[in-house]
Amino acid sequence: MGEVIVVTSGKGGVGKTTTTANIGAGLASMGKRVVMIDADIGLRNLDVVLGLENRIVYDLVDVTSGQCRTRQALIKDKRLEGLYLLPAAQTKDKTAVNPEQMRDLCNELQQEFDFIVIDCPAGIEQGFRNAIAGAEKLLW
Amino acid sequence: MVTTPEVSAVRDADRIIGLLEASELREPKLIINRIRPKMVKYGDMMDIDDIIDILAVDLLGVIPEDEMVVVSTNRGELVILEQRSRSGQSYQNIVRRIVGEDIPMMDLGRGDNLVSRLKKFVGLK
Ligand SMILES: Nc1ncnc2c1ncn2[C@@H]1O[C@H](COP(=O)(O)OP(=O)(O)OP(=O)(O)O)[C@@H](O)[C@H]1O
Ligand SMILES: [Mg+2]
Repeated sequence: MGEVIVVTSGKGGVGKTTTTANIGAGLASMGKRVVMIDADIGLRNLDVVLGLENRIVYDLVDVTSGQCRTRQALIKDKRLEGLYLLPAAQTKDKTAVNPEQMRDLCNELQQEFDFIVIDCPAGIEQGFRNAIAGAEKLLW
Repeated sequence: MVTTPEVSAVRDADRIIGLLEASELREPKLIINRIRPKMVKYGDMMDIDDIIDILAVDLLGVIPEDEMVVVSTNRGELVILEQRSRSGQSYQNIVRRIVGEDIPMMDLGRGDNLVSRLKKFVGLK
């Protein structure tokens, strides 16, 4: 069973996305199978930080709404074996994903990955509740 | 839980930790980002012990302020993969702690100025 790590903060802009990307890459370079979920729609999103922004076809909402299979939405990192990104929903509707869907998604991913690292939006809106819903053991 | 050593960020982190506990997600681990050891040394920035005292959570790691973070972000690269970056080294230590290795904390951002020594002396911290 994979471990879920939620990266969160109170204030915005303190380094969550940077931390998610580096921890994900660090775990993958140790040979772990890692998927990072972008639960935020921000300026410098996880896909940009990872240099994967041109590879997005499907996103988180496509997965939770059943538009595609989970596997189809996972983008493989260019450098590291075993590192994947599930990109942020491009919709501004923050209620497009609910906590139950997030929990189910994490349960599914935990079967296949050693670590699920979730990049949270700052503060306590829906995105935060979604992100912590998947957390079995909360690191952050 | 990620915070920077600013009063407003620490205060907001404290509120979120309260909410996490209310959701029964206990024992969050703390990362303090963008520490400037020199500023801490001269008492111009919150010291990591002050932050840990306020938040009362376990420290997972401390990341220094490092312009390599900005440079690599702009290039779609990652500091943890840069052998010689200080922030990358700190992230490496965090990852090793996550997988259960016992890695000592680097001595970043521990204040040792006269004011903090005096505070300790009179029992303020
Ligand atoms: N240790 C560091 N040294 C220097 N710059 C940093 C450091 N950590 C983060 N930054 C910079 O700070 C900015 C914000 O970082 P990041 O995007 O990771 O924060 P965030 O918490 O995800 O923000 P948001 O709340 O908007 O999602 C970025 O430009 C990043 O490059
Ligand atoms: Mg972010």
